[in-house]
Amino acid sequence: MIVFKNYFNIVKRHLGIIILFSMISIGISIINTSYTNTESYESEMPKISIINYDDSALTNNFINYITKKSKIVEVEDNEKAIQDALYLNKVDAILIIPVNFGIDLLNKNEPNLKIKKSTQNISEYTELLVNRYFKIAENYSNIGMTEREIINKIEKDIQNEIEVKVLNENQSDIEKLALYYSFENYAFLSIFIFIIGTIMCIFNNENIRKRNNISMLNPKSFSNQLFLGHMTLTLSIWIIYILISIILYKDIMFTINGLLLIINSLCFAISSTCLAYMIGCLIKNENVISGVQNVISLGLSFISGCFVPIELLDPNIVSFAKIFSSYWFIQGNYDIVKLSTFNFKTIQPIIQNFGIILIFGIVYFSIGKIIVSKKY
Amino acid sequence: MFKHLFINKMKILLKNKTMLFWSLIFPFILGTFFQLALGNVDESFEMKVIPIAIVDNQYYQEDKILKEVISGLSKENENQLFDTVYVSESEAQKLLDDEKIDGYILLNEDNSPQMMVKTNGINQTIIKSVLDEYYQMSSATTQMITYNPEILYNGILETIYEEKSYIIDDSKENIDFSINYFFTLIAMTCLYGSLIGLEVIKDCEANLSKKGARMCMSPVNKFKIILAGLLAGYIIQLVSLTLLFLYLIFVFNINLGNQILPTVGLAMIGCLAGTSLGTFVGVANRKSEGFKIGILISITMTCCFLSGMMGVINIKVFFDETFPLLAKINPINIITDGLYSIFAYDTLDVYYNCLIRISIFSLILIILSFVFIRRKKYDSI
Amino acid sequence: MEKVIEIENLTKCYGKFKAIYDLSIYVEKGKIFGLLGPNGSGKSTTINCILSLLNFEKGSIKIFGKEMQPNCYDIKSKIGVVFQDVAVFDELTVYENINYFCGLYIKNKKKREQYVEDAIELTGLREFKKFRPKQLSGGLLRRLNIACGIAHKPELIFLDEPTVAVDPQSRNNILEGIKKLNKNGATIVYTTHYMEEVEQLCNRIAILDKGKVIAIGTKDYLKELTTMGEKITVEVEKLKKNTISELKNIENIIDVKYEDNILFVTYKKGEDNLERMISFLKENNVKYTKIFSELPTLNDVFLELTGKQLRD
Repeated sequence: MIVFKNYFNIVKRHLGIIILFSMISIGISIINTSYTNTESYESEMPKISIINYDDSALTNNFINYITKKSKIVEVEDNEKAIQDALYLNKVDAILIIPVNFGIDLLNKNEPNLKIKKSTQNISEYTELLVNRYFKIAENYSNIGMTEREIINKIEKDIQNEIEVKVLNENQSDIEKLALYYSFENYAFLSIFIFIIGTIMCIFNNENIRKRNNISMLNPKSFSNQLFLGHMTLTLSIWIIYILISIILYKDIMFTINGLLLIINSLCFAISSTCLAYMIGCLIKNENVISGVQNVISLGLSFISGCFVPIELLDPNIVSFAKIFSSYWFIQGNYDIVKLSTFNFKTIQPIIQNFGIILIFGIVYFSIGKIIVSKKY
Repeated sequence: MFKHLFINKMKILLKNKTMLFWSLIFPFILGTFFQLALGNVDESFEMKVIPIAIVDNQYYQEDKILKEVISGLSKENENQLFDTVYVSESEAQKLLDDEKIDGYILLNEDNSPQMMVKTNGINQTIIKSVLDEYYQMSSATTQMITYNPEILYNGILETIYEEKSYIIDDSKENIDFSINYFFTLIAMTCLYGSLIGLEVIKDCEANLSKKGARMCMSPVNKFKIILAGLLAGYIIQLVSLTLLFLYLIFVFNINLGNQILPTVGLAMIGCLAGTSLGTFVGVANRKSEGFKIGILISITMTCCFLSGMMGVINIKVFFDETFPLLAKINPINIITDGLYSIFAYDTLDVYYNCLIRISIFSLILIILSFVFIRRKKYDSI
Repeated sequence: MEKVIEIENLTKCYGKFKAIYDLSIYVEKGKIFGLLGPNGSGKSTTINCILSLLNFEKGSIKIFGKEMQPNCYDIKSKIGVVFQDVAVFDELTVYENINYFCGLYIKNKKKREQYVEDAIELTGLREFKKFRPKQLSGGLLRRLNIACGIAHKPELIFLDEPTVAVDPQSRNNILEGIKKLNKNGATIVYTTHYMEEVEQLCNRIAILDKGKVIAIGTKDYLKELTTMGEKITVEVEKLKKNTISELKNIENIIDVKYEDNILFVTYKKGEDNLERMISFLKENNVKYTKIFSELPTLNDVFLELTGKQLRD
């Protein structure tokens, strides 16, 4: 086990930069999870801002109504602030109600209010509410009701709503957890490729390799010990990642969902170690490590739904992503957090998914082995 | 002499593969990833047919109008909204558990309808709003008839079911945060000029490399050597940035705004910031070159992350609001904001603000580097 | 004789460690001056101080009669330096590298082309003009390194261990080249820990140890410093103990050693040592297979002055 021991002497030399890289990745994961709205999953209330120049009872009542139906965000009434708020996704839409809108509506002057929205169509729901409200109001006015009567009657109408029962509670936190775990895709790939690439370059240095080759050391045992070293190192990083998730989300981590997430990420950690090993076998020059590291980790993260939700991706890209373990890992995370009933039937696909991720690992590892055997 | 230094440095840099990768190839690859990942964003918000279930009980059968509405929306044509199955409550629950449907509707005795969902997402919102529409409009109709029964006969009632819009869309075109990815990409390319700065300075300082010692022994002013080298590097960086712009605009059809001059100005100062960052990191310490490259890449990627490059823009919002000072000196963020301001605003005051900030950023680094470079002798080499 | 370099009382410390202590030497015009010493004795540090690359605590350094400063470009233009480590651009070819460094000194393009050709000729790199440094062997790389340092035909050349880890062919080429440069009028400062090279090349030699000059002078002067005059080595089997003690009593002999069937005898200065030895062996009926005599080398000088070998 001399190689294995020496492995950690080398790791010690590079400990500073390993810790630095790990800290950055983990820090980024935490920030990313804590401050990202899990938008497509979380309860969907559009973020609306209203700029009102009218002061009629009807518009005030309307604003009351819309306030209940959306998250109201204050936005300053100037072009720049409006533009920023839309661009930065602080609001989905901004409604601008012109002067005398209420009176004009009742007088059949066909007034319009303005909407400014980002290209994301989340604001459609708001438009629906607006149009319905004023259509009813206009119709009431057409048959001769006064403003007061209209308001009273509309109040009654809009209370007719279907009652929604959400069967899964605590959804947003567990979704966040899925996001945290999915970010491992970026963090693990980035750290693992960097560390393993660096260490493999040191061990594969031509002179050291020659020296190893003429020694009594069996080359198989050499590469196995090396791989064991990689595994030990990566799994220690994995444990840190898990511990942090337990600290941050202790309520959920001690459920079956949490356990499945941990197993899923263990499978992924093993599989990405194998991927990094395979890449390490290919790299000859230390200078290319950071390049490969960034291209692979960012690339796989973009196409497998780690950075951009998978629903937004082109179906062709998604089918391409399926040939990497990242896709299955991230899908697994979202499938796991959706689970609410646990029986063999519901858990079976999850376990299958673990298997797929591990098979990818085996494939990566074997390719790495083949490369090594071809090379020397 | 300057020409000799400049031309040869150009030759040397153009053959440096590591550096070319980061300043030329990597932005192209990343830009392609963005396009792959985001090219589809707009389309994905198109309505899809939503699978729902309706509990087919006696109360549902009694509500003739609702039945008509639902079956109308479930008809297979281009306006189809729902894919509806009519089942018993237990079956509906099972379908929901297995995620075969997005929700089911249950009508009860007292005419209070319920909708069961597992999560609250966009599809659920759509189902709800359709049913709300139905219930509210029928309530309105009823109230109108009660108020004035004549309308049953004079056709006024017809108008209430006509679609009518009270909204004018006043949005500016194309303000979509996905453009932010490309702004950060451009900013990143600017900052990768730092690797060129590092490469240049390494060969000019006696305590950083033997080549540097040799350069120091030549009868040429050190500043002249450094300046010629940095200029060569800077020009290479500008060329690769130009190529990136052309790639984004002509290959991916990305609209980066149409004010060319300010964009070019910001990009030029941005590259200067990159070059000066590299120069500073190069002269400020004597760690190995690999270490310095690692540091520069991590700095750049972290700054990119905090400017919203990875994942959604909320990171940027969060960081801008929580650490406004840091956000204001994050070079990637400054360049990103500047590009956005050109794109989004009619006036240029925010742009000038960004331009000044990035200039100060560069200037400070240049002055600090100068302090190190000015030193003529070394304590050890 | 005109002194090209004058160093007085130079002291350079790294923290508490004194790398050079109170070093005073001068180099005469047109001569090859050797700095000899084991690894870590301060040779490279001395050169870097002379070149004004390093700060130093005390002392003065004059080159061409002028105090050396980092911005003395007129002095620098007359100096050529070949550092210990190879310092060339991997991205440029052999020709481009030499042209680049020469271009820092010679602005006239025609003249420069000629100079580059001369340097290539001198170092024997003609066949490798279009090669990249990575394609060159260690010895050729060293030669390129030298060519880059001397292409501008400087009046004063510093060579810092140019022959470390070089094959014999390249070494000969390098040494011949240095002699040629010297013949053309260049003053040369040469550091090494190979005493053979110094003996072969240098007119004046300073021996350095632990940052101090322990001896300085011409080759012959240095050899005078030892008490030893001659070394005689005899290959002989089974020498009796009393023969050895008899040997020790002979006058003029400093030391006798007998190891592994080889007899080492060290003599003071004197004549006919070998002859007397042979007759002594005959008298005692000792049969030997081989006998030879050596004159003292600089290594012996160093050994006697410091009590250790040069190449430890």
